[in-house]
Amino acid sequence: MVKQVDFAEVKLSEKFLGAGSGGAVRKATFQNQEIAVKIFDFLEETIKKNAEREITHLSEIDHENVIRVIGRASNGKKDYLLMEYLEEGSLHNYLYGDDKWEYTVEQAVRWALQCAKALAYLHSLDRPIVHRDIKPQNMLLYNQHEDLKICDFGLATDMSNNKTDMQGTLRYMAPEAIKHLKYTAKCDVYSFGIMLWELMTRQLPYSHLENPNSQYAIMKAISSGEKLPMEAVRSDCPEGIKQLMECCMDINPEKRPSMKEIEKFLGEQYESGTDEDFIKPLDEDTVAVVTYHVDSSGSRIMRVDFWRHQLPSIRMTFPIVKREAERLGKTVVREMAKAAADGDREVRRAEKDTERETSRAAHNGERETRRAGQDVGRETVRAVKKIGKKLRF
Amino acid sequence: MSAPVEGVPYEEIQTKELIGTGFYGSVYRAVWRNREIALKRIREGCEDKKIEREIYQLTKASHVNIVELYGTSRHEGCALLLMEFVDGGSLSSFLHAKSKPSYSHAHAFNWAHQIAQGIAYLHGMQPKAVIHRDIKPLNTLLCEKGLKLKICDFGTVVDLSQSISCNAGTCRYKAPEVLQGNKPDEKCDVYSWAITFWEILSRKEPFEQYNTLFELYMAINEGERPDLSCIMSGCPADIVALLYASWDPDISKRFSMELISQSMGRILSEAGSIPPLDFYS
Repeated sequence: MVKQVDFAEVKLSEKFLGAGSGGAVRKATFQNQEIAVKIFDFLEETIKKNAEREITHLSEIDHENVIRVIGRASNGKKDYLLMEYLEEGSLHNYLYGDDKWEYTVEQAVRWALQCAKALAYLHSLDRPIVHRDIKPQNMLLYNQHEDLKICDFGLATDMSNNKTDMQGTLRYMAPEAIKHLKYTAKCDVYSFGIMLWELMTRQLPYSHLENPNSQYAIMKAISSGEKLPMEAVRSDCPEGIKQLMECCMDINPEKRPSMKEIEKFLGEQYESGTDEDFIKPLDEDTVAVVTYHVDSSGSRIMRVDFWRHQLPSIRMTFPIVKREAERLGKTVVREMAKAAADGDREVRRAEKDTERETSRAAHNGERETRRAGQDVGRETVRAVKKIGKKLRF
Repeated sequence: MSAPVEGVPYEEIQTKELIGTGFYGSVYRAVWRNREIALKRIREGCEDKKIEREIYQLTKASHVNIVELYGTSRHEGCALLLMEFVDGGSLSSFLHAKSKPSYSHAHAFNWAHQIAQGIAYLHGMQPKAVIHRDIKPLNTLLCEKGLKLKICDFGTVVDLSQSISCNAGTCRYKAPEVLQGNKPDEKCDVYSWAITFWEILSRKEPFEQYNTLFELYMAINEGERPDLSCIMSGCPADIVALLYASWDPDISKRFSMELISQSMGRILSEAGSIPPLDFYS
């Protein structure tokens, strides 16, 4: 149950965040934190029903990739739903806004995976919830645009309860929802497939049509089974992801995978990360192996292993966070100096263990080790900067 | 009429009972400066250039068949429009009332003529024509015991290109080119007028056999039109020809509203007397 809050503690600002289905959304302050407030005008009966439905649904949900409900307030004439505020805006704005940031296939898979996790959770509840309006506008970004949360549950419904009027956004709607008003969990899967295609093309679905703004043209395309053009998908998109899109967008709902299956598949795609790992020879004796992983808390990390001939390898692990980029570079340099020092100790130990080594050879070894360490440091900093640029550090 | 008053203090308005609700807000009966008015309260979140456009258009419109705007106000974050109160209810509620009140050819032609005159006035406004974009029986109000009629609610048309916020009730009256996402011009009002006139003549909801937006979109865009065999018996052939010319899928072949207004005037003059409706006594 959503906790009731004293309306006097809510300070509404003039900033208008948007109009989700059912009501206006404004920025506000509550207990010294910025929040988003959805305003329901109870003088209108249909809006009142929508408000109750949305509040009921949100009160049951507890998932890291679903917008969090803080509380509910009322002033007699209107009802207010207090939600967490994510200031980075929607995924739609990220894709098509003025800034036009780049993003990798890996980041797109990350977004898709989080959406899949949230939907798998919703569909698995004791009273399963179908969102019915899955699209980039309803995905809010946070954590430097790397993570997302689903919002706007105004159209969500229990799976057992089919609505009689058409709801949702046409570009993302499943054919059976458009033609026959049949809404099931597989409709969310279809919309997810459309959005996945959109993430891998950065194009609005059905923009390839002769009249892309025509509701009629879109309806006709969907009802006739016309597919989105797969040739528009970026060339570095893995084949498995393309196949997943097509499975999700199957015209037969029964053939679409469940959200749980999609979550599992995308999780495996994300974990393997073979496209991002690389091996870089630094000199004839040293190789750097860079791999990407997700640690137990779900954060992305970069692991650098320095393999050196006749000497122990050194492993370094770095969290991939924007604000850490500068410190990361400095850390690498510092670690390299330490590695060089370690190399020195190893060389001296080797010297003691053999009578055939000359003082000249020992001196040369020491110099070579120090140079190798410096080279590794320089290359690693360069590699980190290159990766950082790629990841929008 | 005098120019509308901007920024009417809310304290001057005595709000009474709720009359109805629409997509963009609610309408109340109210009293302002000893005059009964309709107070239109714009739902929060819907106040944007669309509402400003309606206000701008209403301030310029001055015609006996168009609802008058007296002023604007603001209260609890909502924009308020102080409108002329029209006492007879919508044409839609009359046509589909359970008691099935009777009306003659003359009444039907009279209403169609007045709607046409109101729209023709809008289309003729200078320097820029005003397109209503949502002509339907629900947006036409009866008064003076059904002898007079006024158009209301223009400018508040939902943007169709991004989401299905258009419900079946409104799509039934939309011109095919509007449903296809094209920018509306005056001729879309002509189409809507024709569908409205058919409803007046048949007392049926247009395309009532279709239950979903998908079916409506496909039917209308593929050229289907309401069944003319359903209209009142004894209608002159001119009426049928006029309907065909008004809902033609080819925009360039549709009559202008001015021409329709003249044609309806001529047809009306041959239709006989128009007595007040019993429904309102």
